[in-house]
Parts: sequence; structure tokens; C-alpha cells
Amino acid sequence: MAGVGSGGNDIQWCFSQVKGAIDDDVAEDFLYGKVVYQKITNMEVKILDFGSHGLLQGFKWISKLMYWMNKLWLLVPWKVPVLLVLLVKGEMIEKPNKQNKSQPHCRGEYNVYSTFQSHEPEFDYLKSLEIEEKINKIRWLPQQNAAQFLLSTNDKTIKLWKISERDKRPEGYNLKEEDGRYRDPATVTTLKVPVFKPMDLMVEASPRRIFANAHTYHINSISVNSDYETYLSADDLRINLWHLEITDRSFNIVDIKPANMEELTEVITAAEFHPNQCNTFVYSSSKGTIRLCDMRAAALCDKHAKLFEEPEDPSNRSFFSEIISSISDVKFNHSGRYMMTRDYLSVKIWDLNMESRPVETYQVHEYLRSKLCSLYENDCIFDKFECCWNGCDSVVMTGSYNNFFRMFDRNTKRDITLEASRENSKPRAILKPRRVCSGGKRKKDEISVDSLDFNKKILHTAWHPKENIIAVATTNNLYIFQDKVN
Amino acid sequence: MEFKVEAHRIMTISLGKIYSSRVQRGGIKLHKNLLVSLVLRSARQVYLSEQEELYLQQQQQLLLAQREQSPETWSDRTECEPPTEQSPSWAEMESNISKEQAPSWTEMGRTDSKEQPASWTEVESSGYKEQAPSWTEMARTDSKEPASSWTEMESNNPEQQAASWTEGQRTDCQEQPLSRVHSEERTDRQSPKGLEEGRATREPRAPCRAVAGCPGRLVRRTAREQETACTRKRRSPEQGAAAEPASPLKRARTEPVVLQANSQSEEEQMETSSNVSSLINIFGSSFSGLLTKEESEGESGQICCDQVLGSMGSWSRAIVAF
Repeated sequence: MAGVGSGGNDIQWCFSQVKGAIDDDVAEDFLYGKVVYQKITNMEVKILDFGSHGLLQGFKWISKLMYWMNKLWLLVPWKVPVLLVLLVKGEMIEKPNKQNKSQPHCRGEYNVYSTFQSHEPEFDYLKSLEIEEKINKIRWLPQQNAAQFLLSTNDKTIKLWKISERDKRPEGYNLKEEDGRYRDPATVTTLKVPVFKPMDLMVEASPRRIFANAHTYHINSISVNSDYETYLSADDLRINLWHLEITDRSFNIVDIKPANMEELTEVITAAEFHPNQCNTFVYSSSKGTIRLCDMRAAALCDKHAKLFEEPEDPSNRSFFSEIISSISDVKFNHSGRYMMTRDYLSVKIWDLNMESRPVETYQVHEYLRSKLCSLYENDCIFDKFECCWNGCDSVVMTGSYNNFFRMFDRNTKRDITLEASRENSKPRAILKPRRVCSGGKRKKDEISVDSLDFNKKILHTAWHPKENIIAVATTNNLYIFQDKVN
Repeated sequence: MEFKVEAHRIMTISLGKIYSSRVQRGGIKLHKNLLVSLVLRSARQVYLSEQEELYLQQQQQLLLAQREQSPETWSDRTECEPPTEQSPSWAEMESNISKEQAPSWTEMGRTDSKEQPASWTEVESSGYKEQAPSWTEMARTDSKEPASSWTEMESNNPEQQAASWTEGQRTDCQEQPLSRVHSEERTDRQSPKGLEEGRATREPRAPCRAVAGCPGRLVRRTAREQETACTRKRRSPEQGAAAEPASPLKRARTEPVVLQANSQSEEEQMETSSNVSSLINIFGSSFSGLLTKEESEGESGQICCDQVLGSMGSWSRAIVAF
């Protein structure tokens, strides 16, 4: 698999880190009340060097982290929407590449940087509905100053968070004692200028904007525009355009709600802005179509500029054809020429210039096609897998069941299945490719379809924009893998 | 045959999912429920088409038997009884569909005008404002619609109507339990004639109503008319089909309204007013009225009643929440 800065050599992935509980069983009985928090400021946090490499800026993290910390740090129930921001430790390793030129690659460890609760559970009194605080999507904003900004959304409300560091504090006030008590002005005999003294690093997260009350249905996507001023939020039937500075109004740019709700046949499942053209965005539907819209054409972009749809293969028709054709994720590549969609069984890459069919299709777990009925029964068929590109758009990655994740090399047309598990988690252990056999004779080292664990699913993955470092989220663990450094 | 079993199983699972989605946290998920309803619809289509094949075979036997009789007249049809061998499978179908019917029963029994209409209008957990206007809108449209469709039918091309009417009669009466299937089929498959046939099938069904042994069947037929009324409104088979997943829940709301129009047409055409008025009494007095009437009916009626009763408790709660 081609990697960054190198030719067509195969990458060997090796284990780097895992964060999470030792016990892999998800404690489903944890409720919101049983949370034990430890203030993040009491913990030792590694200091990071932001400036010269801007690693955090470009690194788009897993949108939704299901995260456990081990008992020493934090005990966090599975569904609490705590955002965890991990940061690289900032070690630089000089690695000579093929041409013997020194090229700095970053290798390092990721440690918890900040933890905060983004949303609170709310109650909509009008409809007698509880609004879950579970976060649906997180998107970073491009870094413009020392602080980091990100957008996070639950079903109804989007919040802009500012994450900033404080490593200095003023000391030497005239009217205040060191412990904060106020001094009697009469006792002040001399004046001094307060000075900044270094202190332990404190990371603060503060909500900067709250964008609320704009969505009737559950928000499923947010996407920041390339103009860095606006962003869109999409729910099941509508897409709204916001300005980052304005919270009391948004523009509705797509509305597919039928006049008669009984005629509803499709919903919006994901939406994303084009990475370079600030007037273009796409949205995918539950019917497996993607629509590209140009905001210059009209204020309400109900009429699409392009419609990407692949005709259905009639031989694969079943009761569940509609469900498995529903697109769960849409991602543009870095250049904006291609986009990738993930439906239940496959990953498709579309050329924006060709609407009739995708240019590449990769089957993620075709062996599940015969199991659709049981997957429907246990609700697994509704799982929303995400997908991601690597930094140079040559490899795409997505998750599957049994803690497997798959990578597809677009150039060599080879694919690999890897597993994120504790057994493979020795430091620098190289991951072994896995195989699933769909029927017939099971070879050694293969796992049969029936013994797959459908409770262990990888929905979220992320690839470092510059390095071959990937993050993979299982139900309650976060795995970080890097390519082997010789 | 396995398809039928499979389809039935999938239908049961889908209904269970829709029901359980209403009690989960965070409100109803539109996307998931839409997908589930699409699965439900395709499973039901397969299931009913399998049923239809079975009955078609049985109907052929009937045709052979009835060939010796006098030319088909309306009175004949009025008296035609469903073959007894159809009853058990009918009850079986009842048990499957009863879950879908039960919501309509419960709603019918409910006179509370604040009862929110089911289907997507409710599935969307939108504001109360949004629901209320659409409900009144629906009520308005539906109250107008049967009347208008009645006049439409009168002024429509009589030959065409008569032709399809006859056809509708023949198939509909002889396959009373399948009336649902056929009208469903018709609206699905024969798109240009959807309008006329929808209307046409209403008529022949009315006299058959007098004969039906199972009141569940009666109501279903009414519900079927209801459904065709709704599909008629949309004037396209696709939309009609799309309406179907919502229709079991939606039926009851417009049912009383449509029923009035139905009863009018019946009386004018069929002179079976006594039966019709008894039916109206049943509906008017809510589900308990239906039960008492049922007990005097056949065994199959009892079966379907039990089935409906069994599921009524949970469904009535479900409907309220919806």
C-alpha cells in the first residue's frame, strides 16, 4: 500500500497505542448518573508544540469517540458525550527516506489533552421528547490563532467550542492576596505591577457559540465551508447554512420534506461541503443517491446540479435492498475531484464529473449479504459506518464487524483486513492481515462468518493527513496504529 | 412458500421495531423508521402476493363450480359466500394483519378529536403545530374527497367504469378475503386505471360486506376502501404504494368520513341499507360494539377478534403516544 512520501512499497502496520478499559465488555448498564470524573487539570498533561507543524490543526479526529478511560483517570459511561482531544507528544524523529534525504516524520504518543462535556440532556416540553446529549458529529475548524475551535452537535443543537491553553497566570495583585482574599486598601503602601508566572498547563474548553432551534429533525451532519466563515448542518429533511458568528439565524438551503408526510420516501443521511469550492456541497440520501448542489444557482438548492446514482443490480434485490443502499457517510477527497460514499456493504468512489456510476466500488463485507435478515433482526443493518481517505488519497479505509477494519489501495487494487484487538496490542507488534471465509472450507487463520462478533464494530476511523498514523475506534477503545519505522 | 413465511416473519419484526422505536430515548428516528416501513411494505407485498396465488388457484376451482349457475347478477354476488376452506387461511392472514388493523380499531373507537393521526405525520417528532394543521388538513381533504370522488364516478366514463366495475365485482366478490389484496394489487400495478378501479372496487365490495362472516374482514374492506381513497387522492401507483406502510395506522382517521360516503353509495346502488346501517352502528359504538356483533358471526370472526384483542392493549398505548 502506498504511503506518504514513498513509492509502492507495502506498509506494515504496527500497533502504537490503545486507550481504554482493559475489559472489553461494554458495560451497558452504566447510566449517566454513575460517572466518576476526575478533573483533568490534576492530571499530568504533556505539553505540545503546536506552532511549527500544526499537527492538530490538520488532524481530523474521529467524529464521535466512544471512549473509556481506565480507572486511574476517568471512568466514563459509554454514551456520555465527553469529548476527548488527544494530542501528540511532540517528538520528532528524523527518518531518512529512500533518497537518503532527511525528512522529519512525527512519531509520538497521544495522550489525553482535554475532556469536557459538550451537551447536556434537554427536554423538549412542546413535544414531550427528551433530547439526547449524545454527540452525533464533531468537526474541527481551521486553526487561526493559538486556540483550537471545533463544532459539535447533538440531535438538535450545534455548539462551537474553543479549546485554549493556559500556562501562565498573573501574580502580584495589589488589592488581592495570593489566595484571593481582598486586601484592605488602607494597608497598601506600595504598588507593583502584576507579573505572569508559569503554571501547570491548564486546558480550558469554553462554549463560544450555541446554534440552537433550527432543526426539527435529528441533526446527522455538520460540515465547515472552505471559506471558514460558514458551515452547514443537515438533519433528516433539511440542510441549514450558518455563519459562525451569527447564532440567531440560519438559511435553509435544502428542504426535501414533502407536503404530505405520507409521501416521504427518502431522507438526507449526510452532507459535506466541497473542500475547495465554497459554493458547492453534496448530500446523500437513504436511497443511495448523492446530490451535488451549487449555492450560486438559487437560494433554495432543492434542485440539484448533479445527481449521482448507480442503477440497482436487479439480481441482488431483496427485502433489504433499500436499507443497504442507504448511504451512511460521504467524504470528499483532498482535491475535491472525487468523493467517497459508504453504504452498508460497500465503499464507492465517485468522480464528480460522472454521475452515472461510481468509478470504483470496493466490497467491504460482501459475505454479509446472505445474512441480511439476521442483521435486520439485531439492528446491525442500521449501523452507520464512516470512511476516510489517507493523506494523498491513494488509500481509503472503513470499518466492519468483529473489530475488523479494511483498507483499499486505489492504485494497486489490493485490500487488507486488519483487526483492532487487545491480543494484537503488544508494542510495535505488526498487525497480521485477517480473512473471513464466507463458506465452504475454512482455511487456517480464517474466521467464518458465523463466528463474527457483531457487537464489536468499528464505525469511526481517521487517518492522519500527513503521516501514516491511523486511529480506529471500537466500542470502548481507541486504537492508534502507525506504519513500521525501521 | 418459504417466501411467505419469511415475509411474515419480517413483517412481525418490522412492526416490533416500529413499536419499540417509540419508547426509546431521544424521540422517533425518522430515518430508521422509514427504512423499517419500506421493509414492511415489501414484505407485505410479497406475503399478500403469495396469498393471492393461493386464492387464485382456489378461485379457479370455484369458477368451475359456478359455471353451471345462472349468469352472474348482482344478487348472486350478494349471496355468494366465501368457500369454507378459505376461512382458516383468512384467519391466519388476520392474525398477521391484525396488528396492523388494531391501531385502526383503537383509533376508531376513540372519539377524542385530539387524537393525532398516525403515519409519518406523527413519526416525525415535529412540533405540535405542525401536526395539528396536517391532521385538520387531512380531515378536510378526506371529507371532501369521498363526496367529490362519488360525483366524479357518476360523471365519469360509464363504459369504462362498468367494465372495470364488473371485473372488480367478479374478482372482488368471489375473493372476498382477498379484496384487500386485489385492490392493493390493482392500485399498485395498473397505474392508469388506478383511479377508476379504485373507485370501482369500492362499489362491489359494499354488497359483499353484507355477506362477510368475519367482521374483521368487513372493517378491513372498509379500510381498504379507505386506502384506495387515499391512493386515489395521490393519483399515482408509486405514491399509493408508498402510502401503504402508513396506511394501517392512517386508516382509522379518515375511516369514519369515508364510511359515510360509502354508506351513501351502497344504499343508492345496492339497497342493502340494513346491513350498512348495522355496520355504521358498529363503528359508531366503537370497538365494544364490534365485539358484540362479532359474537353472532362465524368462528373465523371469533379468531380474528381474539387476535385483535390480544394486540389491542399494547397498540392502544402505542397509538396514544403516536
